[in-house]
Amino acid sequence: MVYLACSYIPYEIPLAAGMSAARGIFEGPLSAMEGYLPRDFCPYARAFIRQYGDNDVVAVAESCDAMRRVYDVLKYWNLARCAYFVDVPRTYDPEAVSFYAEELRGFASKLLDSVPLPCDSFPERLELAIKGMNRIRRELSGVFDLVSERQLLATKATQLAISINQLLACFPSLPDPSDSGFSPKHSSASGMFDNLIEEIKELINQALSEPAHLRQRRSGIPVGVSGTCLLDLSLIECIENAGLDVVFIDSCLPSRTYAFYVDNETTSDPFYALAEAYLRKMPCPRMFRGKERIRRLHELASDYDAQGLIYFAPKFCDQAYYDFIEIKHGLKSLGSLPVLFLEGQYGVGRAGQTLTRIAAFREMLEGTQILKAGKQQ
Amino acid sequence: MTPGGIKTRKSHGEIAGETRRIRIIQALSRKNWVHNVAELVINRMERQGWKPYQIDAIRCFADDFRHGYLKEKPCIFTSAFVPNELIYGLGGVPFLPEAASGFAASFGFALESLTACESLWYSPDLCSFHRAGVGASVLKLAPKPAAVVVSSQLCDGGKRSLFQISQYHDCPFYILDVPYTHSALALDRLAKQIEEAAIGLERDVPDLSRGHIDKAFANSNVARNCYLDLCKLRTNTPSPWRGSEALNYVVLFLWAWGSPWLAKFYQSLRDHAEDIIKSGDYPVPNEQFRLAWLNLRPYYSPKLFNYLEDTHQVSVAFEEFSYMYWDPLDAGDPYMSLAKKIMANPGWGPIERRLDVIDKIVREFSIDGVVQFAQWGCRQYNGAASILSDYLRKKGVPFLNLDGDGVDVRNSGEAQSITRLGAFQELLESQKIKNSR
Amino acid sequence: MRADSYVVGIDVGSSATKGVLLLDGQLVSTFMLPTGTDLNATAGECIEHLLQSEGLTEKDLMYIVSTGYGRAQVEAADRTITEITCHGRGAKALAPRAGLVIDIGGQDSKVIRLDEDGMVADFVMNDKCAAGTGRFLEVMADRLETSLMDFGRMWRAAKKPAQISSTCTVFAESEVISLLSGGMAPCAIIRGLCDAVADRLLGMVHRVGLAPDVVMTGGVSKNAGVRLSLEKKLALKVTVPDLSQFAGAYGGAIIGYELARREYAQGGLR
Repeated sequence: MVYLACSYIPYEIPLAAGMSAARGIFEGPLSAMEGYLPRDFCPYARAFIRQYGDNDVVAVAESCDAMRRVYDVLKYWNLARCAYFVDVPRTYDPEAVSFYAEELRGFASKLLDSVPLPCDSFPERLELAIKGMNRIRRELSGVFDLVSERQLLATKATQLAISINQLLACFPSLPDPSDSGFSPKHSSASGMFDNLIEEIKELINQALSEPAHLRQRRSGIPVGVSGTCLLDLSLIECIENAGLDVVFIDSCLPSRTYAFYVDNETTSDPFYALAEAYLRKMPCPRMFRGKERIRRLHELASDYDAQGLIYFAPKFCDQAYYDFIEIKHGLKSLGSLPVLFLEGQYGVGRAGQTLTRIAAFREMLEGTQILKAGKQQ
Repeated sequence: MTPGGIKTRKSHGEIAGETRRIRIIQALSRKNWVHNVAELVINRMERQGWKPYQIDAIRCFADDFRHGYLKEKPCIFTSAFVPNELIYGLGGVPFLPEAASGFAASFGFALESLTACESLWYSPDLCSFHRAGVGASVLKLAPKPAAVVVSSQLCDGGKRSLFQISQYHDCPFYILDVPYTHSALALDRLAKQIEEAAIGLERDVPDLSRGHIDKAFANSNVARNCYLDLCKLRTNTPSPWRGSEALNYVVLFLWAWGSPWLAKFYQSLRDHAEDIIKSGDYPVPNEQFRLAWLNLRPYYSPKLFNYLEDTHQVSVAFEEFSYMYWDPLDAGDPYMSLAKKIMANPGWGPIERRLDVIDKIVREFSIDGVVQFAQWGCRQYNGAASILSDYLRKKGVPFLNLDGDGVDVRNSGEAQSITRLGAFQELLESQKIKNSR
Repeated sequence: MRADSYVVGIDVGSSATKGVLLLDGQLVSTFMLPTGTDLNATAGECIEHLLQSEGLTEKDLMYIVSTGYGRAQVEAADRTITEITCHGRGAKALAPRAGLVIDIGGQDSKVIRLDEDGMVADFVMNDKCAAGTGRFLEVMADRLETSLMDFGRMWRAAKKPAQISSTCTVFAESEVISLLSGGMAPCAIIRGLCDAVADRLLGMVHRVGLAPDVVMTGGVSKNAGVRLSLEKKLALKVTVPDLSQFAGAYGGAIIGYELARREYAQGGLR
């Protein structure tokens, strides 16, 4: 099993290497591991520090100062069978894409060193994995379309995304194309993705078959949620319980994990296709892509009629602290979208202070709406 | 404009932190006569017997500040670890807001800068070197940048805060996205980025031209040679130079590579260290212990170092930030040469690189103990504390992770820090007794 | 809605519970008591006092709005509203020109900017621990063996403030000890402490945007020292209404009165 530490590391590569892979999602830092990183470190980074199983490997990206140190700690103290480092560029330009394609090729080759898989079968397996992941991403995008259409609570959709991540963690190894009877066009490997997609669809259907009052939103004020990493579900739950309708989430899980497509048709190099798609997606706060984040957040807010944005920063997450400043001022210049800043640790949504802030934000938005309505009359 | 890109909210004609004295400094720093007077004052200081290296350092900054504030040369803001040979080589002058934060703290202006920054939603949990840098820029304590160049090393705050400064001033921004892992491809990518930045700067900023690169490289190489001589002298026991002072001049080490003044400064300093060794007139005469100092220091107060150097005769023999890590530059292949310099930074890359350097410092400078100044908000360095502690413990070198803040006095408990340093000194003492048995 | 419609706003804060009784939208009575461990019981006691003071019974009450950190515990409340909205409304009612409200309570501080209609336009709350709150000042007052009510007098007696850099309770306490042992006069230390709290508030004020008419509410508003430091730092007069401690409860009661009227008009209320 490969634990991925960042939404910029493609699931496709470990899956193609015959390893199950999932984004590392945890319930919080382990008290037994407290000494490895200082307490003024982002809770996600601290939660990532744990003693992994004998067969587990971790893939950490060059996400931020904290995650670089996570990599060092995991490696120095031998907390996983192996710790890989994926050097993700901060820019999206042809040079960066080429560089990242090579980095991914290197990552794949390191993974392949540790698995008994013939290297020559890897390209076909990678192609299958890309197709399979594209289908999974499409399914998840459909789920979040329902959130935007206010047909499904964001809490439920996020829970689904987490469940799908868990399914990927249990995904059995792809069969080896060198096995007799393997055919990429109609192979059991592709069949395994079919099974996975079926399971995902079943999960989605289950969620949608719940009574409407449990899965659908109330008619609250629509808001968006943004940040680096939401840590857990409690914040989204708290926002929805406070009577606000979450219509989009811009965070590494779920949206930055599923809301894109890898185009493997227009290039002969699957690593280039992966690099291009992963770097092109909605930029995360660590990226340097001018004002694109602000522009795209503004578009999301306009498309879904969001009346406000709730920005969440995991405590001590520098990327989020800086990103928020750009978002707060940038959105204001594009039309005064009110932004609420929240920060916290795991379980932030259960803190009384969080609820007070969100409720006050709702009251503020309600006040603005009443006033607007009054002025229109 | 705020760093996010819109108009700064002004109330009653002020932004937060814009006190009367700040307005006076804003105005004075941009007056020609003030810089002329500063020159006279420096001449007088020289006549009054200030040490030549001190005068050279002051002149180095005075020169760059004059060019920057009076717009005599394009002022390019850079983050720490951008090779400023590039800026001098283009005929500009660099300005490092992070390093200038140290100045602001030592001259007592940091709180205003921090207040300005916090009023723009900067979290107090961010590193104060970056917050004060943004604040100084917003308060116009810093000159106006013609462009901003950052490298992605070492920390997130450096590059992001400077990006926001570029937004605030609406000026061109260039990022050198430094690969983390070493390979020929990584070097190529970085060299190309440096070249593109140079071409972009030449294109976007009037009066910049790549015609000065040879000179800047030559200056840098001469300074490097003198600096290596100085480092050799600093291995002497007792230490010929106060570590507290060396940590002040780290600002120059980050700032002035490529400037003609840096070579002069290191020459003078080398001569000074030689004189000290010859005369035996050491700054910490009864040196009991020698420390290696990691990361920076509090710039608003000398108390910690007075306590170490004067009360307990403990020298800071060498600093991590003073470690010379690059090879001589090659003007024949300037961008690749600068790329190699950047990639050689031991703070960038897996922790083993940093541990190797610390190990070298411990051996070369006969170090008895290592102190890491755990700057509040510095994830880059503080995150390695557990590893450093274990690594050094296994080597039998005592290690102290000293919480504090180099710029924001509000985050610092000086009394607690002194207690910890006292305990550390006692630990070194007991170790010495144990070893002597 | 009847002319004798009584409405209560109740603000369950971390240190004190405050209640305000309105009759037909007009303030009739106030009451304050320390918040006990049973928040609902404390709120009940407060309501009981308000009713008794006017010879009323529960049946006379049309509507109860609860606010403050214990607002969700008040079982009798018809509606809970956050202290941000309530302090904004209350301050506007107590000082009609209010554009900016600084509320410093026992465990948190908040700055609320009001728009021209008196609605909350933006707000910010302190981000961590007791730094710069009423609790911080209490700890310091204990250390200096003085009372919070004396802060104003001592502030004025200080020729210049002592330099206190931190609002972290632990760091500031050690700074105070070291200043005392260095012979610094307590009044200078108190002025320094008030300045440190004001400095911290200054950053929050500028985040939401300074407006000319600043009103201070909450328990610490009665501490003249902090007000004087704030006035100096902001170069503005800071208004402290007589009922500043009741601003949250008063705002809650006003909103309750409006809600009651709306519901009554829609036929949903007795």
